[in-house]
Amino acid sequence: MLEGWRHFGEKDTVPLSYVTQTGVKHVVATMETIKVGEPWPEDEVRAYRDHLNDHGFEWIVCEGLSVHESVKTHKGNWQSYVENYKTSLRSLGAAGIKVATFNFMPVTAWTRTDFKYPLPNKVLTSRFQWAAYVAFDLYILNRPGARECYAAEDVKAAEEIFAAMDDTQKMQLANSIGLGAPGIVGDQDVDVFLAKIEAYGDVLHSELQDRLIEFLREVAPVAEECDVRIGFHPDDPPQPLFGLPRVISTAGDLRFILSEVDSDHVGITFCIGSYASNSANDTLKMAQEFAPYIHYCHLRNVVIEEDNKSFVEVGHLAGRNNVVEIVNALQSEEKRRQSEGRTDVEIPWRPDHGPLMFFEQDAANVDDIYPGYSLMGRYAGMSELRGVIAAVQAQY
Amino acid sequence: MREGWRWFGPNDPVSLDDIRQAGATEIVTSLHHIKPGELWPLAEIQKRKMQIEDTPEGRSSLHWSVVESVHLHDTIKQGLPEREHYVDVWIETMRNLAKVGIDTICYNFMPAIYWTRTDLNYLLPSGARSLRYDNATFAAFDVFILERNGARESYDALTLDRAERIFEDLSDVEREQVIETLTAGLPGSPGGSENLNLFKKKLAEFSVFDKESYRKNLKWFLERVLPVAEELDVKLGIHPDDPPRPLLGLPRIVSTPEDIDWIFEAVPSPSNGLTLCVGTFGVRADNNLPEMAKQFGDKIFFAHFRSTARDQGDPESFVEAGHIDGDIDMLAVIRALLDAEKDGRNIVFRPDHGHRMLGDLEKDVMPGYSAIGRLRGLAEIRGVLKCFDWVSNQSAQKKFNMRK
Repeated sequence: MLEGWRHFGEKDTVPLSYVTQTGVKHVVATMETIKVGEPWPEDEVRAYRDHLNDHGFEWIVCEGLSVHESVKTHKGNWQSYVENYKTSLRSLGAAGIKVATFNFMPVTAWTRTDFKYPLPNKVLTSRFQWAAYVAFDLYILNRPGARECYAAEDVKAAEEIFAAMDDTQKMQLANSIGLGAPGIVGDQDVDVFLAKIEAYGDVLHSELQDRLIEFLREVAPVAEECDVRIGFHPDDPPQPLFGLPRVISTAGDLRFILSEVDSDHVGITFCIGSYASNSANDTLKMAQEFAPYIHYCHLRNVVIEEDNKSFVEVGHLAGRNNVVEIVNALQSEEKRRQSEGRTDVEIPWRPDHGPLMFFEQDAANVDDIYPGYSLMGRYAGMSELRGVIAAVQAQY
Repeated sequence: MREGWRWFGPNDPVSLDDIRQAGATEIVTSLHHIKPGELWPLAEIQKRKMQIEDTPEGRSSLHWSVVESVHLHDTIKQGLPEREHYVDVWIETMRNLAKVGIDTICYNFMPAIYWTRTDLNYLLPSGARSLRYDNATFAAFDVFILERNGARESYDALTLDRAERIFEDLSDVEREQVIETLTAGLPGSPGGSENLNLFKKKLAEFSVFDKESYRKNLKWFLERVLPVAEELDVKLGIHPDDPPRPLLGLPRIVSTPEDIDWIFEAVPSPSNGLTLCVGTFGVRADNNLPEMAKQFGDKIFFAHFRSTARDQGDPESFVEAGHIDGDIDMLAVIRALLDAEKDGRNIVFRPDHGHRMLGDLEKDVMPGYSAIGRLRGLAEIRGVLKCFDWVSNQSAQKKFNMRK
């Protein structure tokens, strides 16, 4: 288990000197300054790697090497973006970064309706409330055809929740959902949001799946050649949003994709928080089944609410993910890899999102802290996970 | 095991809400404003209990489960005639605590000083800060500042040599700093140069005892309080000497397994027990903590988890390490305590001292009792416990399957 910490470059509110104090030696980062889809020049990637090295960190995972929207919509000059992707992969390989992640969600990178949801212990956490999301889709986005996507009781719940919101709350909802959609900011950009959705037309689940597989088959030989393992990240949440299909949501999706793409350099980013947000996913079984394909792992936890579609992010050991047994599955996979002589024995992981807690709740820069990526919440989670990993290790 | 957190009362810079956020449920506290030897009035205890347990709507609840500590008046430790009065007061306080359902009391029998470090802000390679005990610095204080009679005999030539150089290099400010740090563990320290005088006075009072005569005083105390403790079903857990070895010519009687054996044999009682302060005992290389946790398991009523790392080549010096790092096999200690709990108990532990780090570097903190360093330790131990919970369920399941 190779412990990592996500770092967002210069704009990160957690300085690298603080990351040093947590005892972390490896970081997960990306080229923050290059626009999605542009090719990454080798010298710039090397320079950023050296910068991180100079601060005492090894850059172990590129999170992420994002896929341009056109690769998902198959609109315009999308093939050139695939070529750019290969260039960037080669640059990562040349710099010695061994893992790259991406996701294949249409329009959004992740979606929450509230980033400051209080738990009984007074930490502020992230929540996806289905009714609030539906309200956003129906009444803020006013997406044409939205109503047909939802059951009558969903619409009723959304209506009620929206009627009870004042303008500030509506704005907060729009900002929360907008935060997870790159290039879109809150309720200012409703038209941009709608246009991005519109670009997908009436794409079918099978079509989007084909596009993902086509993309993976294109880049796999390059990944092999430059020895960068690709781990695709699941949909968050793993259910269709905004009337568009999602294709990396379930164990069935993984089984299909991995059977269609034959490369030991194509596998998964096992984000247990995302997968567990769909009650149909048994993440422990998935850890066991897909272990050989896990190139990278995000550890966190969720509780699914009564409606079976909403969820709250809770303490890293506290939710429906059986983290101890998942860690055990990962460690036994590492043993297996060792016996097979694989070069990627140690599985990189990081503590995923943590709540806003302790001094950061009152920090002067609290509004600049990227939700889920505050220092304390992740450090608390990392410490819990270190305890688990050490104790599981002691069982071998 | 239940997750505890030491709280120093309403003036503690770490609030009850901070403790909730850290995830602890059990509060370990004392009426810190009441001096050793004075009665804890029932009303004062109830008031503190309300402050802790009166939970705002919708918030997770906290429970005052351990008192750390009800300190003993020095006349008890010194076996003076006034101890008759002070032990009655101590017993009355215990009765009052029992009335509100507090059934675990930590106390210590350390002479003069409660804990000793030479640096309360020691810089670690990571940039965090820790508590450190450097034997040569301590010797410099003992030999050249305190000028204690016979001090030189307590150290080897190499240490004395280093101590001399340390002392010579001290500026006036640094000298004051050393005095302040070394006397910080003195209960009710008045501060400033007064500290040193009080320190000398206390040393003089206690240095008349040897191990045997000092043990007699502890035995007398235990014989008085344990029958009442039994009657009230209150558990007393004695805290070890910190550090657990002879210091400044003072008697030390709670430092080793032999010491603990003596205490339990001297006054046998189901209420006579131990606060397993892992970090304190662990400073001695010859204290095998997992073994001690096993040996005394049923007598451990409360636990402090922390670890230390002895210096290479200078085993009397140490720095406080991360909670599951350092010289101690903390995982084995925890496992032994979980075994001890098979009798149905649910032992409270707290993360003892933590590093001063991250946001706490910019804040005033009580040495060792910063929020973030302790949160880290608590979270690490929570992870360990979560794993052991799974392991024991798994072996229970295996047994069950075999029976089928």
